[in-house]
Amino acid sequence: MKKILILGLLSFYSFGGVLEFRPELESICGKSNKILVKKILLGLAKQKRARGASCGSDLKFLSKSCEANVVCEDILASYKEFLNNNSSRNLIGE
Amino acid sequence: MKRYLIVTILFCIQSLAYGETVDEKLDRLENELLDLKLGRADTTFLKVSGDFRTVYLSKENEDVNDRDSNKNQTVSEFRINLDSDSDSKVKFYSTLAATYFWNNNFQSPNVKVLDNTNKVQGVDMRVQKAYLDYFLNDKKISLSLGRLPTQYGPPTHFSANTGRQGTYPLLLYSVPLDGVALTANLGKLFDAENRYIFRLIFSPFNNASGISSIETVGSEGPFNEIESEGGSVFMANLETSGELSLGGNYAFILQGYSAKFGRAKALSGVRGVLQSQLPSGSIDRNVYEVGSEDENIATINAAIAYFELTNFGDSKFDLYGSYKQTHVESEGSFTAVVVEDNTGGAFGPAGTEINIGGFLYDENEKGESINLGTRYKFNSSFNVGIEYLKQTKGDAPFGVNTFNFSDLPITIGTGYRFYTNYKIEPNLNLGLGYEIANTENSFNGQKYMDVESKTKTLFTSLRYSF
Repeated sequence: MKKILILGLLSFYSFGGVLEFRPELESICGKSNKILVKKILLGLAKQKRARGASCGSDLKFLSKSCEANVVCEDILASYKEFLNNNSSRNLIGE
Repeated sequence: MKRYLIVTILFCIQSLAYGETVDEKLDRLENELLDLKLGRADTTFLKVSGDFRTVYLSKENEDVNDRDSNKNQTVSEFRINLDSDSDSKVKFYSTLAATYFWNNNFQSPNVKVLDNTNKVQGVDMRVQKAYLDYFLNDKKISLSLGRLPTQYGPPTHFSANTGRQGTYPLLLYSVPLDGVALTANLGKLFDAENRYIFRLIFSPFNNASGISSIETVGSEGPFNEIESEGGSVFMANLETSGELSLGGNYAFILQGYSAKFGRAKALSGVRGVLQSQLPSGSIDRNVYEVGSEDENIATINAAIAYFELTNFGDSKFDLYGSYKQTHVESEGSFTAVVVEDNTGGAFGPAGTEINIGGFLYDENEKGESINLGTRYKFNSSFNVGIEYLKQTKGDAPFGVNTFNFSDLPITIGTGYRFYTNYKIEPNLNLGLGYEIANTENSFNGQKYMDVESKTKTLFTSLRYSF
């Protein structure tokens, strides 16, 4: 019984938070989602790395979108749009 | 019991070591989750994306004789991208596309346009892009081979409200070309702060078909396209981009090409070749064989300088434009041989040979192209823009394929375009625009003829990307 209790507590402590934080994903610009935003920006920068330091406008755009509390879907769509349209696939040798 | 105690102590030590609050823990988990997502995205072997675009065009044409003709068209383009770019050294990109007039096959079931130089290419999926990049020396040098991203180049992305769609400036040309390229990332090579890219591109032409036989000739052109053999395009491209000290970003492209068009093969069964030499109301019903015995028919040398300033001075304005100079050297001419005389000998009996001039122009010509545009972004969903274009006789406008199926980039004359974009959903874009083109020279399939006409086009587009 004690074993179950301890494992239960461990599980809740370790993973229960995931369930609680899921609704927060609806708005990645929310206070508790700064890291997620940061990671998307990093991902964006990573995709652009091959092209050098020209990613300023996209990063600024995303940052401003976050400031304006644009919902998660908008940011993710912008990111996907970027991958589709502005990635290396349209630039020879980059 | 001792084991549980050890586990509990270890857990407490771990918590103390991390010293995490619940928020911090959530952040960490969130971070790890995204790491996984990004990691998975990076290692996906085949990436599938694409878009579906439908454009409604309402054209009103008025020629010098005040003859009006209106045309309403609905065109769709479906593109699917299949990419494999998870390997750090070899990356492959492809786009298959079908471009078609709505229900054209019901009214003209036998017409299948099979030429990549036409905007609307038919319902079959065709290779619009298929090329690989092979990176060397820590991505400082790369070799590319295949059907390159030579369409929908800048400034297309402003009016189309997308990211950049092609490598070359649109007004240099926008047709799918196969070739090989060597790219040097000068910015990386010389540790520069900004991006500097230099490319050399070579596209040899091949014509594997035998003597062509065509029958269909429209009233707008004596023959569909010239049929040539041999030739090549050689290009050099230098581009840079970075942040402006005044605020915003800039990009600059300098590109030149030298294109040689080889010997013109004979086309048999051509009708209407000398239509323009007959009085109004008469029809050239002769059948001709058209070709050239000259080794080459033309060499075109062109250079373009393109710039764009986005969010100029940290404002909501984008500015862009280009200047191009073109030299066309006419190196050969076509001969039309009357094969069947149906005009009562107006152009001589069967067997008569008639010189009908060169490719693009009869003589050497120099031309210019000037393009300026600006766009204002009210917010991330809504923008408006205006463009001006002037191209003079002597120019060789090959900006054939455009996002809204516009003829403006291949117009010799002047033109204006007003456009607006509204993102209904993040991946659904509604475009509306109006174009005026004053044409001074029109391409008839072989060369530019003097004309005077005005075309007003209202266009609406809907683009879904996935």
